Amino acid sequence: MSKKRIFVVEDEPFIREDLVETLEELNYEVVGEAVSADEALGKISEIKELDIILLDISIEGARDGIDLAHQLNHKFGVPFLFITAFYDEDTLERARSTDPAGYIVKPWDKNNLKANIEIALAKQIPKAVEPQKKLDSFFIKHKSEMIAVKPRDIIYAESYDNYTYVYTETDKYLLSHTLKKVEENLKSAGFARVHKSYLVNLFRIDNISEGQIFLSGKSIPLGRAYKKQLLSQINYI
Amino acid sequence: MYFLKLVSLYLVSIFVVTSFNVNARQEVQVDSLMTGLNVADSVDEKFFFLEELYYHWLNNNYDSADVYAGKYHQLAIDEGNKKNESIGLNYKGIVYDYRKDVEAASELYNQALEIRKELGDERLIGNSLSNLGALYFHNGDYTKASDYYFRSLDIREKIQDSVGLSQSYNNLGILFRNQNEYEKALEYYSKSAELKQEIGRRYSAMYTLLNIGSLYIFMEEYENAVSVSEEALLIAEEYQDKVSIASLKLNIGSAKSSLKNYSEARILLKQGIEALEEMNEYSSAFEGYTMLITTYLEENDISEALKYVNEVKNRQELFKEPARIQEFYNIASRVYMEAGDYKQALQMKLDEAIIKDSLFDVSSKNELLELETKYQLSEKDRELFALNAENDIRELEISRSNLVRNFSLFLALVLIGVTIYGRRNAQVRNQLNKQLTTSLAEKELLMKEVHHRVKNNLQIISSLLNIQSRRTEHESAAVALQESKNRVQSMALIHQSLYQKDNITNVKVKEYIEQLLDTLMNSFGVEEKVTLKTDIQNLELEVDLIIPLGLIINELVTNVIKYAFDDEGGDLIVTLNEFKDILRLEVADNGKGINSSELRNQSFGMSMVESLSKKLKADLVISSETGTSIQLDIKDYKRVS
Repeated sequence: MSKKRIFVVEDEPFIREDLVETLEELNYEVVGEAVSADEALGKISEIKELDIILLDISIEGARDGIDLAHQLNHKFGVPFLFITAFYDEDTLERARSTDPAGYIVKPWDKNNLKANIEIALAKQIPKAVEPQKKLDSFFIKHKSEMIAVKPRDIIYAESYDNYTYVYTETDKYLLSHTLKKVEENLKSAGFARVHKSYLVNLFRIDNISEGQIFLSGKSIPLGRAYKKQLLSQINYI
Repeated sequence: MYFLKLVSLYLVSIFVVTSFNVNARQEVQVDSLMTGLNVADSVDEKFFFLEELYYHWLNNNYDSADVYAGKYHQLAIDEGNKKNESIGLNYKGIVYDYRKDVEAASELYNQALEIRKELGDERLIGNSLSNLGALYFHNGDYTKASDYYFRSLDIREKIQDSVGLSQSYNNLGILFRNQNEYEKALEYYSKSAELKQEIGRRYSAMYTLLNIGSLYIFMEEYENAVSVSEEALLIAEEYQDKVSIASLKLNIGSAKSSLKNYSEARILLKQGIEALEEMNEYSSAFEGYTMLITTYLEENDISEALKYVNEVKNRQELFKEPARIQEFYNIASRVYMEAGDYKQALQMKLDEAIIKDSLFDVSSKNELLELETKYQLSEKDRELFALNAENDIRELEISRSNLVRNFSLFLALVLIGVTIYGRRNAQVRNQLNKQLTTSLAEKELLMKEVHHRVKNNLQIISSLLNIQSRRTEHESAAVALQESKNRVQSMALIHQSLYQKDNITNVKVKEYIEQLLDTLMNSFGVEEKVTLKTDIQNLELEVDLIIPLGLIINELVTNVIKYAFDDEGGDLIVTLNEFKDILRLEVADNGKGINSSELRNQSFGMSMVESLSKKLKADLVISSETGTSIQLDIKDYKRVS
């Protein structure tokens, strides 16, 4: 498998240098660097193959990383990850509007960097093959009616004794199965256990940090025992 | 009274322009200057471009200006050009002057002066003395300022340096105006303006005329103010200096307003405001609004005044300078008072007081008390009025406005009002509570900003350690750098969890310690070898406690991972629990064990633990039976429930 090609936008020189070297240690190829939105747009337009862009939010120049992200969406369609010291709701809200492949929170370490990049890369694949489509919708009994739910609409599931709560963007359903049973059914659709009580849709992950996973704006605990398995699973989807 | 404040603001900003003889420069592109500097063949050209770059940055960024002043100075030394060496020192001096570093600036100016004395160049000596005068003026030492100004003036008169003289006169004008000696100020300003016109420095003369106009407003000679300002306006229009045109219109408008020529005043003020807003000069535009509101107030057109008060209030975020906002609150409060809206009037006074408080102004508190009383009393008035229908409204109105002076009535009403005081007081307290909520929200925002910066800086430190560790050939040094990086990371984690939560001073200990342990296991890559067992109570602790505690855990766990086990590995046990009023941390392993005195002497990490324990006033107990156990009892700690 050829090395994944990464472009880095970060204005702080030491952080950028460390980031580039760390990425190389992790066996990625850094194909370009920029400190401002203008420089990034210019350079990216000349790069032929690009797998992902790492984007600092507060960068040089009048436009910040989020403005740049909007333009990237508009012009190139290359996936990007925000890499930032911000993690407050307002900034997240703004960042989310650009539909990023994920977030990396400063100060990052090597492991988190890799996990988040891999998640982001993995999320790109379904755009081509849509493995989640293969699995049919299943029916959930909800207030005396049966509702069809597509696996890809599920964000995560939470165990509740012998039952399981299933969360979608808009609703919450109670299934009369154990989480283990639900996991068996959804595993092939790109779901993974991250905690004794939680099963998540890998395609919905925004960020993995020490002990926590962020999905569509929600934070879910990441159990120590599950982390390693999760990371290995990411490489296979 | 109100206009006086505005005028002084203009003078301060104008002073910056004139005191160093910095002419209005065309907007120059830095890029083209940089290019020019790079391709310059001759030394003269290099000096020219460095000078231009310096002046460009002087208006934008002092650090960069300092750099170019330094380059100019160095080039002069390299070329053995004494005169330019002194100019370079002067340029640097100006930067430090602007930064309010008096000592450094005066040192630099004096160095320049010494060189100039050696050279015997009297014109430059005059400039140096003038700069020193301006420096002391900026810092409020008017005695020294006038001493230097006059010494400079003597030399300039002797050698008939007209440009220098016109500047000296202007500076002396400002100095005298600042000491409220208006007649003298006017004399020097006039000399300066005349001389500038005579030697064809019309543009510079315009600024002096602007100063004169402001001075006349200050002296309440409004007709003179109008005629001088109109003269300046002609020149400003000739040079198409839009900011000056707009500022002059504001000055003329305010003078006309005082001459009760309200309709012309309004037109000029509105024109000025519009132009300033177009140029994004919001703080000056804001002044204009305040003048306009004052004009409507004088005219007794309360509804228009209210309209503009509301407009400004809606756009407050554009107008950032507290000193001017304070003036606005003051005038807005008067408008609300006239409109009979005492609640809003009090609100404005409270807003003003909050800003003034931050400026340590005591007098505003007295004003506030006065208004608070008036507000309470006006409510009382209404009740009295309702009870006694025969009372004349006018009489009540008059008594109300004179209440504060009319002390006996004031006292009587307060006594009557004792029963309702509690209720009123609660209302006022509510207002204050609202203010507190707002300022708390601002504080929270600032905290978030600080956290953001802290995290960014921690990332920089962590990256620096990483980079250096990669470049280091010695294994032990590289390991030491990585360990330091872990220490940084252990602190960074705290900021991470602080910052995601609404609670910004407490940390959830269980969450934090488990994350920290994860990071450490990861960074040493020992997840296979070491089995982690934890029992951490769900507590919330203050940042002051959790930072040293995190560092201690970091060191102890690092020790265990590095030294406790043979190849087959073992268990690492971390517990944190509360027993009565003791917080007990224990880090233990079932490894090969260590003699405790050996451990104490062993590492930098251990000596860190000892000094951190001392800081926490905690008892440290090391025991080594099966493996090693280190126990830390913190007695004096504040738990946040």
